[in-house]
Amino acid sequence: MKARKILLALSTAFVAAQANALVRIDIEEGNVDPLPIALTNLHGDTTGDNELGYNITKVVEENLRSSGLFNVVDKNAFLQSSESLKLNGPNFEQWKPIKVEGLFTGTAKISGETTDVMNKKAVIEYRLFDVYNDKQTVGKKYTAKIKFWRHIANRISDDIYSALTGEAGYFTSRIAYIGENEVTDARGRTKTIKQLCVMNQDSSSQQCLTDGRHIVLTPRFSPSEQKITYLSYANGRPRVYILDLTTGKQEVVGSFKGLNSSPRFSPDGEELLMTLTKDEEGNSEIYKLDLDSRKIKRLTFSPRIDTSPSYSPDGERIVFNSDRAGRPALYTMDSDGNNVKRLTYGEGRYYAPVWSPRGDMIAFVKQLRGKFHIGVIDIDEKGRGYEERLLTEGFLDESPSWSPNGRVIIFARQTKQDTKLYAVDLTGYNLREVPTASNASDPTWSPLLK
Amino acid sequence: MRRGIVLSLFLHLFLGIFVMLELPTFVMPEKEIQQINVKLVSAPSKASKDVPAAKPKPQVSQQSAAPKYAPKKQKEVKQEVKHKTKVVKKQKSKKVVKKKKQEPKKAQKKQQKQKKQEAKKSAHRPEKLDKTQKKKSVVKSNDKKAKPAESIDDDFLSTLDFIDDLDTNEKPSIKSDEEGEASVYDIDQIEIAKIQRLVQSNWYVTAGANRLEKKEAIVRLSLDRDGTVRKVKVIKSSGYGHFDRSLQRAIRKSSPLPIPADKYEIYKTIELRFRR
Repeated sequence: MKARKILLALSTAFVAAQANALVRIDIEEGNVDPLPIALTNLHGDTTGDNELGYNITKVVEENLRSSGLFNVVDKNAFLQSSESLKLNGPNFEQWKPIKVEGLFTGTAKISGETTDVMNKKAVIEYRLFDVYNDKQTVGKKYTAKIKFWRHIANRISDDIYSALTGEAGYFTSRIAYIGENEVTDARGRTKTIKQLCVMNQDSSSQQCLTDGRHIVLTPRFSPSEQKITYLSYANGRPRVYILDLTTGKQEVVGSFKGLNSSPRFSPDGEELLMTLTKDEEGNSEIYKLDLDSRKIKRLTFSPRIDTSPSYSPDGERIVFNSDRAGRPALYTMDSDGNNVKRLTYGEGRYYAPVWSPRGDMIAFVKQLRGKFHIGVIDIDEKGRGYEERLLTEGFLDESPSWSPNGRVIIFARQTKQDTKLYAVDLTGYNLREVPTASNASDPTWSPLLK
Repeated sequence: MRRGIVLSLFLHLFLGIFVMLELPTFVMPEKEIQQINVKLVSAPSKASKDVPAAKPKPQVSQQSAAPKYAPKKQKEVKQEVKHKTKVVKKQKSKKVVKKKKQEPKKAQKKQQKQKKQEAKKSAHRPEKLDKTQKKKSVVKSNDKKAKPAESIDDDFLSTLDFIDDLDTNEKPSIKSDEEGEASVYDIDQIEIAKIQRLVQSNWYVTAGANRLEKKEAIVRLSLDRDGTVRKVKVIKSSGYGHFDRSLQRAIRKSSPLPIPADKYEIYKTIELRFRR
């Protein structure tokens, strides 16, 4: 009997030893809904302070919501009152029940003796809290003239976006596009003019930079500077222009025989790629123009059409469009024109490739069975395409351009009635219209403003 | 000339005879091979001893799944026997010494009663015998019949007692639960799935972001008896601050975790591996 007891004791000891092994649970799927976040109005001592705080918070809220990645929780759901928040600071226990991933609070203060309100100094201090881990995720203090309040709001939006998603933001940026306006001339006739226009990415501060006397086409932002290259038909001849938005200076960089089209900056902004027909009658080839020496180099040599070149962000490869194998498809080559490889083999026709600023994708336009799509193709380390996804479908979707963080694609959508700008997340979600003052086409997204 | 031929003939004959008779004795490789063979014979016995030790793993997984079905009982019991004998083996030397002194008579009686039953389960006997042979008492067991037999039978006996216990108790794993002991293998997949689902619903991930970079982090949690998360420790960071923060929030939001009250010992410390 004793032996039996010993055995029992031993067996239980054995089982207990097994219990020391840890239970490990794999979590591989998450909630892909937008992140819930609480934004409380930045507050101050005066009505002026509070108004500024309210305006900034509103822009931050609109930015985060428009990205499609955030669910800005309705202020009516807040448990801690704004008075209590002002007096005691945030009480995390009152924010946990509404299950927010972040709590935004802060202060706005206006100071300065100037009578000109816009030139007074604004001090904005904000903090984003992680209420579950009792920590501050990010917090900053911005000091600037009041007239730059929207810029501060965009910077704050980028901070929050980056802290919660791990990616750089894109709110402090601009979008240039071709605006179409109807004007009545001196003789009372109405006609449509095309202008180069620019606005903030949230559609504020819209302005047109050209007068509309000449047709303007294909504006493209430099990936590194606030410069735009575009085509303009003055006197019936196409010329390649560069416009510096910070200085307002404009110059002609190329006026070549035949068609000049699809100019695009290199990542460092020191070269332009463009398509010219100067060497062979009616045949488009891709050229590289050094902006410093103004020397031009031919990169493609096929008897068919080669066009729409776009650099990879490291400047080593170029993606372009060619019909050398029949239907228009996408190809890549080294920056000196060597080592040409075909990238797409799918059915349909591919146009207008744009390499993502992150380098891992190329966006394009695809024409398939009478519909137009904006699509993306994943690029592996060796530059091969391995997965293609179509993000949109429309009567005519065209001219894709990446946000500076490579997360959103803006494009022009033409319907039978009008042409408008739309943006879509690279996952294909969050398709939304980007409002413009007039009909708009050919959008291009700027790099982040400093 | 003839002499030379005759001499060479003799020489050849002599060499031929020498080769036929002497060479085998010179080379003699067979004896050594035989020795090696002997060693090889002894080696498998070690191996056979190790075999039951390697088995428990598959048993355990069956064990947790099986108890619901009555027909499988017998198999389980057999497996359980192997399982337990493995335990005995580890601690046997102490036991054998004690039993020899204190319980030779009782053991003998029981031995007689249950010898018949043992005969049926003879499959286990060789293992037992093998093990005892390896002990120091092996020499004695060859000389004297009674005492070593006692010690062997004592072991048999106790294992048999245990078999009886298991027969009467239909679900061995539940029995161990009642005693407040439980093994990892008693975990129900549904329990895991409940925790998984809750944490997943609270874990906000930004879809499509940095898709080429795979991220993985492991977090160790200490739980209170009601499932409340007391401590969260990132034991393997993903290398991305926002990622690590997001899963810590997910865990805090999910507190208290739905752990079964009777299995706190298993769930008091658990690890979550987040992959994206």
